[in-house]
Amino acid sequence: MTLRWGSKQAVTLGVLDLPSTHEQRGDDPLVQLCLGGDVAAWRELHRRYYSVARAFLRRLGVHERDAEDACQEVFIRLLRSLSSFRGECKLKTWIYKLCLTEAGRGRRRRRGWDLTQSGVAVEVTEPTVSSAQSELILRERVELVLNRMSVGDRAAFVLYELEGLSGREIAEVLACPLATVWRRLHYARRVFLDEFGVKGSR
Amino acid sequence: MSAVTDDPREVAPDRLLARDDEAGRALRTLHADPSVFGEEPEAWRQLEQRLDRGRVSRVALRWAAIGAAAGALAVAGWSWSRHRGPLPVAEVREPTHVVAQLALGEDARPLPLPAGRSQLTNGVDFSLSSGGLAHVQRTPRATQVSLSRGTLEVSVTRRPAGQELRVEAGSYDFRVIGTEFRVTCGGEQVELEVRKGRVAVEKAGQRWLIVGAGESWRSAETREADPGPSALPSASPAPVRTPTSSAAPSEPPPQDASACLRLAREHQAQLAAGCYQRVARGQGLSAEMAQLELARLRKDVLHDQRGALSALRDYVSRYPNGSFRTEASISLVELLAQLQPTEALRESERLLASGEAHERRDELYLLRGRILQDRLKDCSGAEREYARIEADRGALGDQAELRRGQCLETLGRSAEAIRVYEHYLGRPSPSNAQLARDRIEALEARAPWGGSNAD
Repeated sequence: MTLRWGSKQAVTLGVLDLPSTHEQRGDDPLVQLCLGGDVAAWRELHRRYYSVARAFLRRLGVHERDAEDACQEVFIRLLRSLSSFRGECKLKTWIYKLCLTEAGRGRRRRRGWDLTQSGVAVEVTEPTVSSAQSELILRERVELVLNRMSVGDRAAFVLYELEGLSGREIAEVLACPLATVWRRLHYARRVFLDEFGVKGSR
Repeated sequence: MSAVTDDPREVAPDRLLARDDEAGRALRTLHADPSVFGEEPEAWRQLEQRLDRGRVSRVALRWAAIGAAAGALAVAGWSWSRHRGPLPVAEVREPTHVVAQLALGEDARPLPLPAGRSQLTNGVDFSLSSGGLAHVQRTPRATQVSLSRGTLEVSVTRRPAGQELRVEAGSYDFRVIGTEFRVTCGGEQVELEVRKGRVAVEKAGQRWLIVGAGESWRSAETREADPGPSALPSASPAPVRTPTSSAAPSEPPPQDASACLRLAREHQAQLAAGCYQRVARGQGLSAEMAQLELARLRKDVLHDQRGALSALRDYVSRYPNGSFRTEASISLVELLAQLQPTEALRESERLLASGEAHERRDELYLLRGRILQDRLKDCSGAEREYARIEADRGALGDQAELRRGQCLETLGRSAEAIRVYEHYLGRPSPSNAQLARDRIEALEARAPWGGSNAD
């Protein structure tokens, strides 16, 4: 079965035995295979980075109901523009950038995604709240605090605190100087710690 | 691990996820939430389907576009073939408001005025009532309108050069001196109502009276024989002059402050100004207040800045120790800032040196900074003025600090500008925090420095 996608690449479904961890193989050969139209390589690329992209989109504020579509958009754009990728940055960095763009696009379309309506109904009918419920409540509090951050601050916060990127990597994703990364992180942490920490011990 | 201090240029902070406190626990709930990761195999399947659908829909779109283009061409061709000749008159749309344009010929033939609005090419507008009858013609010295019946409204937007406008109704002539008036001729009576300007009423070549704006006049004429040429105008029935309610020129002008205030509230600004001027000639506190009110009225309502400046200068010279001296002086500086910025700087310097505006010196520094920055384009001087107010934690300091940052940017002192913006962001409630942050990021992006922070 042959598929033709946006870049007129004809690919054939099949199975390719590839190492599962990119640390062992690296992205460059995978990218080359993808550019060659190898659908198994595309499948591997999707498998490697789908959860990264989806989690990042969700943590940027994309609602659960929109996350799947947004993630698809990211990979479609990746598919269409991979031929212009010259290895200037890591593939993961590029995917982060695409996620940021998609999250911004969605924000402009819908003027704010409401994380408070995550689709999970928390009904507290008993006097005491179970640990699962309390964790859910805490998680929603965290999401509300993230919503209070500016877009740039939230991105820096999520990339540093949740994605574990270094300052320089974040500067590359956000295309800004390192000092700006620290400044945004500083403001974001101030917002977060005002809610969950003790002032003065940041 | 280092803690993050209030200085945003501190080295890389410890990760909150690793903390064993409320912040760490809270963040871990989000970090460990499995729902954010989705189901990859199902997502891949949906992506494949979408890409397949996309291919199909792109093909369909291409054909749809071709079809639409062909359809448009077909419609255009049909339209062209149908309308190859001149459009039928019936298809020409009439404008909703028709104003007949009348061009008077030099041959002095009278032209009938149509009912409704019409306009002479020399700038006179008429409006003749339905059923009315009037003619207009050009004579060597005037544009003459003869009203036989009905109501004619006239608006002279531009007096024809060397040409009077005269309206004849019954045995009366109305010679237009001013702009807008209405003449009604019906049965045995002629009536004139002037809205703007002045109109002279004449009979048998003799001027009877001039009717001004807001006034009306009605003849007492009947269908008796006209007085003979020897009859004096006074032998004719005397005209009745009925001033309209909007003007009362025969009443004495008000001279107390409450009356002036009432006039101002009734939006009769000119009359109010005249009233305040009269009150200001008096003595005491009411005269002082009237002088200031006169300045305010001229500036804010009548938009007469020079008149306001004159009123303020009068106050300052008449009341060197007046109760409102400081307010008047600062208002004078504010007005001078718009009209004579250099003079404003001198006046404000004198004020600051004299100490008479001590409690409002921050206002003056800010005003001086704005004059220097906005009017005289002297950012160096402006920055120094703004720096004097940085201790103020209110609105004045807020404005001054932000402007100081902008001045430093203009002067190319980017590092200082960033420090000022950062200090600005440390205010309790900065009014333009986002602007300051955007400027910091823009300056950092331009600058070669990326900070000396460790990673």
